[in-house]
Amino acid sequence: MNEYLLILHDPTDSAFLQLSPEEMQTAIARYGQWAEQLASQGRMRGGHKLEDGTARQLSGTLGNPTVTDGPFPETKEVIGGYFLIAAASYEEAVVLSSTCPHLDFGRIEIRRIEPM
Amino acid sequence: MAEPVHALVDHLFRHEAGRITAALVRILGAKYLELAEEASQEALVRALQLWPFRGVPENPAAWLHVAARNYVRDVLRREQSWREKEPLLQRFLDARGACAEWEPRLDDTLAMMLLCCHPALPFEGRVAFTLKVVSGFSTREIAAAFLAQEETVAQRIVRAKRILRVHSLPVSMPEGQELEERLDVVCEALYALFNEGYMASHGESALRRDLCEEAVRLLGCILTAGHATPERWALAALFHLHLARFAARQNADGQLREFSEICAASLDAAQLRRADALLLRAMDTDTLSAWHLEAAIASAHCRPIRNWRQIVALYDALLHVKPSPLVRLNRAVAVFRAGRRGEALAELDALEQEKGLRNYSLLPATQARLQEEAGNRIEAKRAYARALSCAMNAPARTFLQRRLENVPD
Repeated sequence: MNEYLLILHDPTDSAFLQLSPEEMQTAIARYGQWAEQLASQGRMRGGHKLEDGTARQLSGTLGNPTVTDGPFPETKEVIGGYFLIAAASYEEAVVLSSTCPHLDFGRIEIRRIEPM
Repeated sequence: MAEPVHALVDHLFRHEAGRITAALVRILGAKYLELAEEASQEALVRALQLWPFRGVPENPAAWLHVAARNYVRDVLRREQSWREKEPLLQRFLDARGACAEWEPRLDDTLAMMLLCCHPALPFEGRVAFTLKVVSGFSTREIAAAFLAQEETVAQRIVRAKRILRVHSLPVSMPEGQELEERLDVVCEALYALFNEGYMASHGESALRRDLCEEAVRLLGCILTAGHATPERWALAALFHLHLARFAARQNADGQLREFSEICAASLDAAQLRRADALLLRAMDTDTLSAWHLEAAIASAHCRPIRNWRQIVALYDALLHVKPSPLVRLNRAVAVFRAGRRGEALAELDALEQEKGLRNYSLLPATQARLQEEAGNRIEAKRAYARALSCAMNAPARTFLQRRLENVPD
């Protein structure tokens, strides 16, 4: 079993803001059901929301880094959060991710954690 | 991860949106209504962003209230016209953590309803405004349920807000006689809201039921907050009697059932029991209000076999308290069913002169139906054609079209 990182991209003109309270509640319930289903199959390894608007970029050289603030106006979307899941293959990771309700709002990028 | 998932109570977000706005408006004042609404929406969006990862917190409502307050605090802190806002800001900054003043109160919703149904606001705006601010419906949802343009609904709400601003109407709770009168205005709006959900045979079915249930919930706020009167109990009974027939009015395909097809067996027994209990309370009075009589009529329609003569008598009484062309139209149907056909058809013809019923499809539709039953095919066809020339929603049009085609030549 491999681990896969699901990187959830949110559009910056958040589709969330267009939803009514009822629709937001429905969306939360759908995320919950999805996560629960993966957990019940032993596939959910964790996940976190990343804070919006407080990113830092470090560049330059060791000992002399340049720190710049994010997010960056040129990007159309931000990484809103991530889930870590277990799957036998990329194909299966895709199948498990394809029911994630986040697809209604943004993109999901799937990356395999390189096995040891 | 793997936090226990707390299920959310049905419509929690919708209801909390209204409670948060109402609590913030109580603290900040009506002129900060926009900020309160923004804070409420922001809190829900934050929940939507966080809870998928963290799980639903143990007390989701409290979480949302705190998130909204934090948002207001941040905005006030940022938008310094510091001196002007200082006392307000200070109160917000002082209130760290729990503080009795921040706790949502039942009266908040009530005060907000009184504000949204303020007599200074145009009648048609009150219902939409209440749904938006108190009930947490989006403009889009209100428009869909009312089969109105989103633009129109939005304008009504904007206009209502402008009037609030211009007159700087207070959120404070009136007292005594004034409170009673203002509550009556709210109840009228709730009656209109319920009818909008119940009568209109259009819009997404679930949404319409939501409107009815919202009217029931808000009336419940008034009743449980110690403002019950026999008239208001009667209104509550009326709501539940109609709800008992709600599901039975449509068949599985969402098509309207013939009135005669709605049988007593398909009624919602729990709603009927609830209505019975409410009617008992409503009878603790020596006067009969229009709502008493409407509840009595609705109750008579829930009986296995309708006693049309009794229903006519009830309509006679209702007409006395509430003389309106709509009541006359409904009474005419009962008169027809009670066997006085000629009298009923003549009354319907007379109603054509009523300005309030012009372009109201139900008058010609009723004429068509009763003329058809009376065997007057030509009059029936003409009336169906008149009905179809009125504006109406698709299911009703299909229904009438089908009826017209079935009238033999």
